[in-house]
Amino acid sequence: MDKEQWAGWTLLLLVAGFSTIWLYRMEKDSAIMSEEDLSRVPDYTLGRFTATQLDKTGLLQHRLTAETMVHYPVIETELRAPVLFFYDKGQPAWQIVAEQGRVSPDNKNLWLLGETIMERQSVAPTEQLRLISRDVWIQVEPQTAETIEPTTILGQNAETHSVGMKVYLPTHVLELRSQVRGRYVYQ
Amino acid sequence: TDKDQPINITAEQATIDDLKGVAIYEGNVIVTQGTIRIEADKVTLTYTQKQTLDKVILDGNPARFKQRPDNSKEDLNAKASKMEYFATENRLQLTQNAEVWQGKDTFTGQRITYDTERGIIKANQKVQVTIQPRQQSSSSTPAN
Repeated sequence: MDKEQWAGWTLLLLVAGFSTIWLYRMEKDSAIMSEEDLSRVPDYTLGRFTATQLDKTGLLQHRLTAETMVHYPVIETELRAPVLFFYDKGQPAWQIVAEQGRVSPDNKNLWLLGETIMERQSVAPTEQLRLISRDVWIQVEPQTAETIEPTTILGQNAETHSVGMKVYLPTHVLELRSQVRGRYVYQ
Repeated sequence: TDKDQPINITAEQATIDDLKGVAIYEGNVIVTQGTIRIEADKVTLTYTQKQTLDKVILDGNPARFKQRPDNSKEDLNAKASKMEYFATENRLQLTQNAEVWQGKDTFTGQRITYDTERGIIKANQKVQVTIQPRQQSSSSTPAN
């Protein structure tokens, strides 16, 4: 074989070698991608979903409903049109409605996204209350609702605005984080 | 009267506890109601279960109060480290470095009480009162 033929064979070998390495890499990446992709593929979906939690004495503690619930093996569960109810000694105390929702894998945290409306039932001695905000983070224990967004609170004879809020649902304590403006009509 | 007007409050933060009927406002708190204007570092409102105002506690360095009493041409001003307003009695109680003045008349003392409806001031404990003589109007001739 003369020089030209050797050069041709050598070039061919080099191309074959590089192609093999490239193909091996491609195949490996797609293998990792598939694991990551898998975690983003829902393992089950429910329509008109309801989940109920009772307390130790068997009384209703909270209830979560949604038009659809999409569950993933690893990442957060997605909810559409979620409604969360909190009960106090079995009585309805709070109802929280949002556009979307996400539930952490351990079910301890819930993010109610988009416009979020919290309503407290009028259970003596507390009056009815309506809190309008966005993107509220719910901790199931110790039952708090928190946001950094602008919030409007409408009471029987009061209207209060703030930026950022935390609500302690069992004790009905509201912490208004900044820029508080209130208007009250006391008898 | 001022008492029938809505109350407007602005503050940096607030904590509202409906079960206990207590609302605490903190940070550059300004409260207005009709002609009343209050400025304080912290304002604590307590209200009854029927949502009627019971008491307002003002803390500041100092807390300030201003009101234009009915049928009066001048504002009444007050300042103190601590004030307590008893809504059902229309009574504003000033303690700790209390001072009340209207025009050139001033009251200072450890404890001053002001009736916000009748415009009456009562002071006790080391009181100092300065009442400026009223100017004789030019039409009236002084008695000889």
